[in-house]
Amino acid sequence: MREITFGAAVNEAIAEEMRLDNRIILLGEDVAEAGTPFKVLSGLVEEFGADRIIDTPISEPGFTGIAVGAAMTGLRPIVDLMFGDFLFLIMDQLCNQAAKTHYMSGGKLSVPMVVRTNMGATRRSAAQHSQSLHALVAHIPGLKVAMPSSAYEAKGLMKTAIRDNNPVVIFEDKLMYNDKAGVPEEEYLINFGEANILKAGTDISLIATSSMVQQAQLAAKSLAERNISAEVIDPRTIAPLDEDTLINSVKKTSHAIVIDEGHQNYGVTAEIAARISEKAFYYLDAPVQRLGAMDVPIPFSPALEDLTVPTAQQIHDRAVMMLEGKI
Amino acid sequence: MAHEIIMPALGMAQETGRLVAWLKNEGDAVSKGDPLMEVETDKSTMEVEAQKDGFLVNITAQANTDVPVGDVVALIVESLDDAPPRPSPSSPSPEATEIAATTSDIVPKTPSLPAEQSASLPKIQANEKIARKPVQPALVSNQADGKILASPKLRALAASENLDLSNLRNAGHPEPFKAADLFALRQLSNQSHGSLRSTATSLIEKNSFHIFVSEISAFNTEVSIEVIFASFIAASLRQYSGDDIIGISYKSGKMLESVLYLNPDQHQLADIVVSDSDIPVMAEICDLTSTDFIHLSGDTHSDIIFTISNLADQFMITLDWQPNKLPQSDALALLSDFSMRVKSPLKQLL
Repeated sequence: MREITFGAAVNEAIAEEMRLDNRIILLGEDVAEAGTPFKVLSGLVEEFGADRIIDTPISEPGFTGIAVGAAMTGLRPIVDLMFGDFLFLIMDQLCNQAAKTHYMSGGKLSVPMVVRTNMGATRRSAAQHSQSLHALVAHIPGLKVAMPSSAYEAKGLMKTAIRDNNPVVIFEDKLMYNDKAGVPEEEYLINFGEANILKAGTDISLIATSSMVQQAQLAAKSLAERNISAEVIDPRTIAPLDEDTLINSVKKTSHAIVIDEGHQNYGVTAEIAARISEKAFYYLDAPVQRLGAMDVPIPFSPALEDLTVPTAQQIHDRAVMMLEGKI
Repeated sequence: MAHEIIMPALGMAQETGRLVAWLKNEGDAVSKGDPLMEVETDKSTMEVEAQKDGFLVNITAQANTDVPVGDVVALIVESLDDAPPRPSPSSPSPEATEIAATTSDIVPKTPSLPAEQSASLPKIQANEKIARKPVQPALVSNQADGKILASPKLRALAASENLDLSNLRNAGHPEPFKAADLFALRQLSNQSHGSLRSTATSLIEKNSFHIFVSEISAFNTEVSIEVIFASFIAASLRQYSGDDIIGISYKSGKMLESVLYLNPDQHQLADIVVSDSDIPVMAEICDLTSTDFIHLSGDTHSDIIFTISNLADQFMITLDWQPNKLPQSDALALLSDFSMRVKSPLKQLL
């Protein structure tokens, strides 16, 4: 199978869908000629023209509001939010309007809109351009949240997001844009709410999202050298969440670590740990462990920034402690 | 005459005041108007001034404690010779200590505190702890007080098999117990239910014993086989237990009625009598020699049970013991020792 980068996979997914459906438009800052600061959208404006790949002024609330209205009236917009940190600017458009329009209109209106944005620290972008804010979005009923963990996932989840008739926010780890993975030439979709078991195991479940999936896989490898069989699961979408796959895994292994790059307090790790405790309590042989981003503003200092994000080593150490009965 | 310095009431509904710092030391000379101590209430911090000239003595409240309003915290005396003797350094009342503990991280409202007494230090440390907490796993402690620490999985498994987790604690297993401890729990539970006991049996010719009994009886008509067995077993037990008090429960006769003997090995055979004291039973003897049975099980509670029965011209002696209370080597030594006494009873007299 050919290998392409995460960024190219996103580009391909959007281009393929735009060819299939001319109601799809894309708008945001520096999306046309610039192709975004990460060059993910390069070439799209040449193919689809400036009417469908629209450079907007620097006004996230403005262009997100336009997209919500366009979606309600028949288009299928993709909003490009340059940094996930800018979500705070579009909370009303996203959470009060897009998420609730279908409900408030008695089902007469829907908002088939995709917000593609990013997350992830350790890029030395400091506290206002490094946050992973997906948990904020997943908290709101009416919004779906996808978190691709590889080029393959990025393409399949993006295509599904574009075809969804409800608002979807897709978080791409900005450090993974150049990571390559096998992506088939032929078309495929990845269903929302279906977790992916990347590696089966019997001793401990490592439930990881987005960038943390790689770390969990590395930890599983080093754990295997200690004869610890770790199961690695990527939920793919945190809303909807494939609870059954997670619960069944924990029922089998009796141990779980949840790893996510959002802040640990009130985050994705907390939600998943709580669900495991609710539904697999009597199968647990140790308290569910969480590894999230440290609850501090993400530092600019490289040495400090690296300390705030969970690593494969931390996952490994925590797993060993759990299985040795030290937790 | 000594002038009392009291904790002043600075607010309407104030019950205690916080003594932030002493501004004078014990024994210092003070003049009227000198600031003596700094006092903080929930609204303000103020200095309390000396009302008289003299020397500051008898400081009974320490800095950074809460003191009930109206309590005397020190005295001012005219000369140091007038200072009343101090019984012992006073400690704050329990009530005041409690309040101090709950308010110890309140940030002082005025910045005038001496640095070493600043209450803001503990506050900063507390914040550091909060910031670090989420990345540190909660380690289990080794102390096993109160509630048994066990994983939900083990609890569910133990409940389904009707096993008691306290067996693991009693056996000294480290907590929290995990599913891996289930095997040990099953073993321990079997033992405490009594189904896993060990037994060993010996056969001893009756010949010498009968000669011994008839010779003894020539001197003392009162001596029964029962007291001889009880005495021999007590002597054997004493060798292996090292205990001073050896109580033996003895079942005998057609009805297998039970009596108690206390240290039967320390009396002349003729003087051994049944004890009515409430002594702990170290071993049970089930003497079946006046019945047709050679074996009896169940209905037993002791860790050590000797069963003695007739088998043609021999005594069959069976020792039944709890392996977790008595190691096998000790049990076999105990049985050999008793068997030897029955086999060569005359040696006991020597």
